[in-house]
Amino acid sequence: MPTAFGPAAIAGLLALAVAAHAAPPPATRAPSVSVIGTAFHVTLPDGTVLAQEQLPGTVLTFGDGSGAQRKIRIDAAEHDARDPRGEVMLYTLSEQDAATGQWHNACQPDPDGRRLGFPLAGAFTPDGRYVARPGRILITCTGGAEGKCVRFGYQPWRTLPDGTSLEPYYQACVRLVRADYGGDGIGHTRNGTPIDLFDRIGIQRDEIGPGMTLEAAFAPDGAVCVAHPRLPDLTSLDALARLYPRLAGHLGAACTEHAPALLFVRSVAG
Amino acid sequence: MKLSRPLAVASMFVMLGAAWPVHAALNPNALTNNALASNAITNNALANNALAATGSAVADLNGVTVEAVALPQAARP
Repeated sequence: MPTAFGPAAIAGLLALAVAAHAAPPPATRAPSVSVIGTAFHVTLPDGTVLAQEQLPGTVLTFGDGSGAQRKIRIDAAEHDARDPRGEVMLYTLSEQDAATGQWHNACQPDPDGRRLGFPLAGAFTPDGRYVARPGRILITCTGGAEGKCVRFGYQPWRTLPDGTSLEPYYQACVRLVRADYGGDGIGHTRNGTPIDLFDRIGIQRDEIGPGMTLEAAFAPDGAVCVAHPRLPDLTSLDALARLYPRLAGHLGAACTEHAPALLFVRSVAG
Repeated sequence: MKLSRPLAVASMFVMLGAAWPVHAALNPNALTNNALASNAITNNALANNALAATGSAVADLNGVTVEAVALPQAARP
């Protein structure tokens, strides 16, 4: 049957042309970013997820809703060689100085002298609680308590084969590393103080260092008990009893490895 | 049987030398736990310091959202 291009057909073509023009061109659609474990996942508008080795050079603009923005550039991506499951990604991250436009490493050196960071889903409250906040992420570095506890093996997104969630262990670990006995976000330690942390679920073993004795036992809300403060020049058992009445009766010799806790820590009593 | 003192000391070194790699092999956490490993991740926290939690200059990048993404040329579709 011959095709005739009458007025109706021409009008239809025009309508199609207008509709095509009104649709946003694919190039203007932005990629989306999510965080899985400690990895940035960048998804292109066509659904393609970029490989980790394609990420260096990507600039992410973060905002907290207040209007202020911070630009972070991914300079390098690598798997954490200490993670036997290969789930933990580490990144070299730079931040742009808003005034000068210069880029500088966003992380301070960790104990290995490396300056690496990674994202985590969720957020920390001012009193040090790790909470799920859909769509929100945080950036941490390998030199900080938040980053160390992920690398110690307490990945908050993981569940053990027996169904045990590691999120409370992660929370307890951050409190422990910072000697946040009261669970209020106030640490009682200093950079570089050796500790030995261990658990009952086979992630961190007890490796007692010279002169180390049980310091405290921790749960997600802070210490369950404190045998001795990590650094006596920063706090004392008497001060802890005054500041945190719930710890009274659980201090000194009353604190043992039988305490109902998730994590335990040893340090050298001062 | 009692060993002479130099032999006893030498035996101790042998025992220590043998024990170390066994310990390292049995303990996959040796590199990440704090107490014994020479490259231990030691406590890096500072009291009342926001940097303590993150070990970074990005401490206030907490609970944020990604508002824009600029891909490198090689990764652009």
